[in-house]
Amino acid sequence: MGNRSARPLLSRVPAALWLLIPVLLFVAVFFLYPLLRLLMVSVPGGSFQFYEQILTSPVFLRVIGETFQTSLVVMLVTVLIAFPYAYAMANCSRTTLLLLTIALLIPFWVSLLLRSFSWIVLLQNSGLVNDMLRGLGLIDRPLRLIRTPLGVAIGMVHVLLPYAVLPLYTILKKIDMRLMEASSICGASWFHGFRRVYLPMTLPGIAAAAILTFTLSLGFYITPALLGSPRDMMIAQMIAGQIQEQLNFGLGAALAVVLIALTATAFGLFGLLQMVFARRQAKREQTA
Amino acid sequence: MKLGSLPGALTICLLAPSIGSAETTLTISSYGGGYQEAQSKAYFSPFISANPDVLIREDSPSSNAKLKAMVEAGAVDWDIMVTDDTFGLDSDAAWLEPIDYTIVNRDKFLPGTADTYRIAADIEATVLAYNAEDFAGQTPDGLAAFFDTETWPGLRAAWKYAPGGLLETALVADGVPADQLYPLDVERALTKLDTIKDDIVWWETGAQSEQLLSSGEASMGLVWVSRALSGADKGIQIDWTEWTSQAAYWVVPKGTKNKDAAMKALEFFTEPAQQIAFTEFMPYGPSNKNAVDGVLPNFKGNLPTDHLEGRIQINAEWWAENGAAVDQRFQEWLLQ
Repeated sequence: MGNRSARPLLSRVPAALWLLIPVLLFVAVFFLYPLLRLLMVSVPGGSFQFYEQILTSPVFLRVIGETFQTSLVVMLVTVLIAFPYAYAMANCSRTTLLLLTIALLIPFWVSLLLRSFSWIVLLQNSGLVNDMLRGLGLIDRPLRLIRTPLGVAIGMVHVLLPYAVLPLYTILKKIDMRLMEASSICGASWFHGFRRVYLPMTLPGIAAAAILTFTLSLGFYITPALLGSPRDMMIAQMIAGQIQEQLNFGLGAALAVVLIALTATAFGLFGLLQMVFARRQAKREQTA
Repeated sequence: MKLGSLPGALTICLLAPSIGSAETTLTISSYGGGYQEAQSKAYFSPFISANPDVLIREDSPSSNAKLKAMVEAGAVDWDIMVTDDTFGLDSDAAWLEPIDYTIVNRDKFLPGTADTYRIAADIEATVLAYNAEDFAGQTPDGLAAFFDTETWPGLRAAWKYAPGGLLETALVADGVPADQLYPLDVERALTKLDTIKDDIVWWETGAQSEQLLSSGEASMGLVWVSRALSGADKGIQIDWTEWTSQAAYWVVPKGTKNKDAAMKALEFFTEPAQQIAFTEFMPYGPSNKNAVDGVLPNFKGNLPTDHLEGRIQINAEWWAENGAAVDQRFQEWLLQ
């Protein structure tokens, strides 16, 4: 025992940590350093003028608000659609599971740009959906399906669905369905059993799906640009405009820092919520 | 004319066969697409044939932002770049080499197309294009039609780029004479645009504008003339009564190691033979006054230089001074 402390310091570092070094180096060079540069560009000569401009301009504030609103709606809808899908995947035959997985993943492997353009072809005034509805005599004038918040939401939910379904599925497939049977034996209706027994066990999956879709939504660029109107502009589009058209790197960098800060805040809030939940759950189990 | 190809798409190709001993490699960044192919055929190939010691490496799409970033980082990869009216002004001096007029002959250019930091590559136009099928043989007569959705029903395609001529178009349609546009009455232009705001479909790339018109999604659009012409087989026609003019410019990034070779190349690219050859492939007029009369018949009648009487000139100097503020207001208006 005594000679253990005599060993050289370095060899006391657990071996697993050494394996992390390439990753840490990679992150430092390709993520932390550029991030630091971005921060510096956003405060030229130590002046916070660009942040002041962002916080006092109705345009920027409105875009930031719009970004959050869109992301929230997209998160809710995605999780609502993903839950039954993941439930079906977790409780079906192997063949159906294969089909459901393929249906989910094939679009996932297709370029984002291509998918957004496909939605244009489907949803535009002279698109397939409107042509069909008009052909059936259901409408006289084309419905406005794209260049609206609805169009943006459809495109984004489609892109984000796998990000919500997969984490949900990993949780859902581990749940023992006999618990539901047990609850019904104890006299609970299906709905009651679902709410009291099944749903609480899925919460970690729901939380993971929600946080993934929400934080990814905040940085969306191509989909709102192609499927939305300028009124549905999100913050990433504004950053691109400042960099590419206005050549105002400082303001663009400041907007990017704001986006990172807000995303981190959202992430932190989610984490906090999850902790509170977990603690409450533990307490309830103790008292039970 | 900034986003010639899909964002992020980067095409690099070596033009010349790698035989011989090339001493200099000039890297040129242009808009990509059919436009750059035309430049490649009319300008770059003849240049390397005439100068065996020079290689040309092509890059795309050109980007004012990327050029600025290169110069600021001290890593200038481009020797020549193509840009639009909003860049290459005296206010951009920090990022550009002045054109060396001991190598480039300044006298050959049309008035206003040879400045301290840029020379025009060609004269372009944004025109009122329409889908003839939608209007049963009637033909619009001037930019006012763009704002008259009763007589000319359907969606309107417009470039989401404040300096792209849209405000000027609105003012002319509202009755302001083309020679009294500046300083622009931005609020009046936006009020005019408000009347059709819900009918506007915005485009950001040339391909998008062409798709909007040829798919029938929009019945009328303000689009680049080349895009309007390539939709001709789908019934797209041009009303040349009034149009806003733009130009493409050659600029040389500050700090390039091949400055002299770049200047020699620019002198060559703007000679009549090359600029005339360019009109075989693209409907844009030459900037060299000695080339104007020699343009090839391919696009005769549809070259901007054939319709100078309807030309609405964009005042780049005014935009350089007011661009940032106007863009902010434009973005605000878009969001409303």
